[in-house]
Amino acid sequence: MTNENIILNPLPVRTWNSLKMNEATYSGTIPDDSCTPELTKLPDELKLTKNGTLDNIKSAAGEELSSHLAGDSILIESDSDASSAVLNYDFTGGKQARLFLHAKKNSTLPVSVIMTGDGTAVLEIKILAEPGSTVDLSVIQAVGDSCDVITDIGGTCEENASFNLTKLELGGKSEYVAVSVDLEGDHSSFSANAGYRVRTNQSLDMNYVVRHTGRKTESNIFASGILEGDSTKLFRGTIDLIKGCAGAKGTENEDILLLGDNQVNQTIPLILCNEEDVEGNHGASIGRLDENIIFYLGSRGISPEAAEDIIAHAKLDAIISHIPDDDIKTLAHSLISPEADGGEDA
Amino acid sequence: MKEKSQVESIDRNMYDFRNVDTDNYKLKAGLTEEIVDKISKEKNDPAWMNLFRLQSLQIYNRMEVPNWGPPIDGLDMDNIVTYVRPNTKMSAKWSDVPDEIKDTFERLGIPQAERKSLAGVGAQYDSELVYHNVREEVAAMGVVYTDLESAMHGEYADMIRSHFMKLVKPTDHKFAALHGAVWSGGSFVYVPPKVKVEIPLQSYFRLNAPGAGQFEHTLIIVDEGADLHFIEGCSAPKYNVANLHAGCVELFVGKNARLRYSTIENWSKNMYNLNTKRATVEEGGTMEWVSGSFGSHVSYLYPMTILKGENSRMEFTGITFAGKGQNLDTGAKVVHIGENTSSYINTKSISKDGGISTFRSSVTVGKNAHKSKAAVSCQSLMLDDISRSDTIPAMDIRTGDADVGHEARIGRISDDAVFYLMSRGISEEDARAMIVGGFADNVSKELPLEYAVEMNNLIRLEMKGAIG
Repeated sequence: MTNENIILNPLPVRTWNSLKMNEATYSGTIPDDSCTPELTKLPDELKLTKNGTLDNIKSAAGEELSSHLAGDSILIESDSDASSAVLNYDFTGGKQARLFLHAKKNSTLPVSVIMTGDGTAVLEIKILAEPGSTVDLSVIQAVGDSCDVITDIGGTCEENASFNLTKLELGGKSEYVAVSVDLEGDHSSFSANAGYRVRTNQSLDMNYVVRHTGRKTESNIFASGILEGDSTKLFRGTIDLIKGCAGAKGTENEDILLLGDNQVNQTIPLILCNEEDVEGNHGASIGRLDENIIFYLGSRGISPEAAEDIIAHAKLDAIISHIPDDDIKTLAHSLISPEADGGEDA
Repeated sequence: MKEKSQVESIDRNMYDFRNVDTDNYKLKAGLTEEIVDKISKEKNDPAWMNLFRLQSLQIYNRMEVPNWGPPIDGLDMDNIVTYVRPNTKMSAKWSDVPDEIKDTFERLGIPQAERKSLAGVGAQYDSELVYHNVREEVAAMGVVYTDLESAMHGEYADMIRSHFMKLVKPTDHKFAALHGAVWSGGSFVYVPPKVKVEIPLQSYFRLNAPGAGQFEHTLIIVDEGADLHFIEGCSAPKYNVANLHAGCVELFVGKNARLRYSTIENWSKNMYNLNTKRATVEEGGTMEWVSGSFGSHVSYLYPMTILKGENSRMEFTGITFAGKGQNLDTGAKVVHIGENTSSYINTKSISKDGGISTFRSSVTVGKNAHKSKAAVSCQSLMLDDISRSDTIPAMDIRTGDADVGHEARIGRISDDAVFYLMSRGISEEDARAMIVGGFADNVSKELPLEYAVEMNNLIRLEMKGAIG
């Protein structure tokens, strides 16, 4: 166990310190124990190596975290058109885990990761997508509501490779999510669909960074979530269009539904650009449920509270629809259902 | 290339001329308690101001330079002369201003503009105002437009003491503290309740001395139901040594009052422009900023608005043009405190010839700013692949019923648009200049005609020679 202040999720370019958005400080413990996943699905075409690793994949969580991650690891490799693997991590008691995903040339590598348990959860995932390959990664975070969670995902895409990430944040008390992707190869792409529901007393701190170095690379980050009660959320999103990435296009969008009146909702979407022939776009929409929608649903006999719940679920449903594995999709739906919420129908 | 060299000579003629730096009184370079005390004596400060300056110096010495934003390593305060007094006293007649200085402002078009389209003019040369005048009919309405030093000793002394550096405190950042210690010159404007000043007032700041700093303070109070448009212009000749501008603007917009503050900044490209501007707006008041940033080597400029009263609103329209050797970090800040407040930040930036343009903003909506609305739109245009354009917008929303939107876009000039214009017989260079002019239209249409023309000229000059 290590207990100290660790700087996490640094913004690639600093801004006013008074905003307190330049980085996060994690004051909890980083567990030393390793978490071994239950392999619910592991198709034959995938090769698993215990304690295998990948080198030189960058992190958006910051260097301080990396120095604490030395536990057991798993490397999954694909060299063909593989079907989906599913890994269940139970972090009960406080654990750390490291997962490395390697999609070899022209292969596909679909992986779903489920995070559960009561205890501090620290998960590092590193991805290498070789030319022409596709990695589909779905991560559903559903650990106990009193736990700290740190997820650090880093990926590199070579020529014509794609990395598609679907990330659902449903549990945890204080959660830190770092996603760093290098689009090094020409025509490589990254898409992220991040959904979250942050409840009273919970906090979520995100840092998504995409560096475009290859030509005609494309990134699309979409974050959609619900903030309830006195929850806290900070979304950092950076699209870095680096000289030489001619024809690149980066887009980030955030759509936030506010339920309640005491949230701290912070957003800082950066576009950094030193290439002429590129496109960078950002959009954000933050607000309450449209009164017209509440009125319409009210005219159908649905109370404002129920209407808010319907729309909140619809937002997460839209994210879940990007999960390729049908079983995991079903699981995700069950985790956001009113029964799981302890709602009226439970 | 021939065209480009011609343009540079036009540019120099318009803004880059200089007067011989001899006929003036200068303090020695650097920043010490002795120098601050001397400035205070020169200004005949009241005791409270002398103390304020010395306290600000202590704060300056304690504070670190920002760990964000463009590098300012080339700025060495030991080499900056903080006070340069031209060899003249302030006058209300251009005929009393020494020929050389008068000629400077003539070439910048200030007296002509005063005759044609302004309600009053203040002209600062280095550290002191050399001319200040307001039209009789405007003065008759009770509008006060004078230099800050005189006002500090007159009937508005208490008003100044209760407002001076209350919005921008010396503890805000290192260069606010510097300003508090060595400020000199600038204007005081008071518009009484319900008085609407139909035509603008203007202050023009000219820094002529090499290696000097300009630290003017502008304090404007627009009382309940009043209305004012204030224009600020600034320029300097280019030297091989660093010059510094660390001015401060404090604006108080009363209940149901309206203030428009327009700036066309064309400092020379050896200037560190570390300026601070801030406004507070009472119930139902309106603050409008129009800002064009063309000059400076390095700029840190983010006018801030505090929407304190219910139903108050703010609009910021800005353009930044960063060319060779320039690193311009500009944007805006807004803090929503009152209920039902609204803000709209709309900026354009253009990067060319290796210039770096950064749009930086923050929108803060406080817990009690129910039903507030904020929108930010920033568009950046990259004109080549050796330049840089970054956008760093931050939003911090702390109430559930706020409506906040943001959009940012970075891109290049559309080849199709250039091709279309060229097919109509327009040269590629002119086509690109036209497109950039159109891109900047949001700012130019907000300016009085004369200033819109000046801004469009600046864009045209910057764009000439952009091809090849």
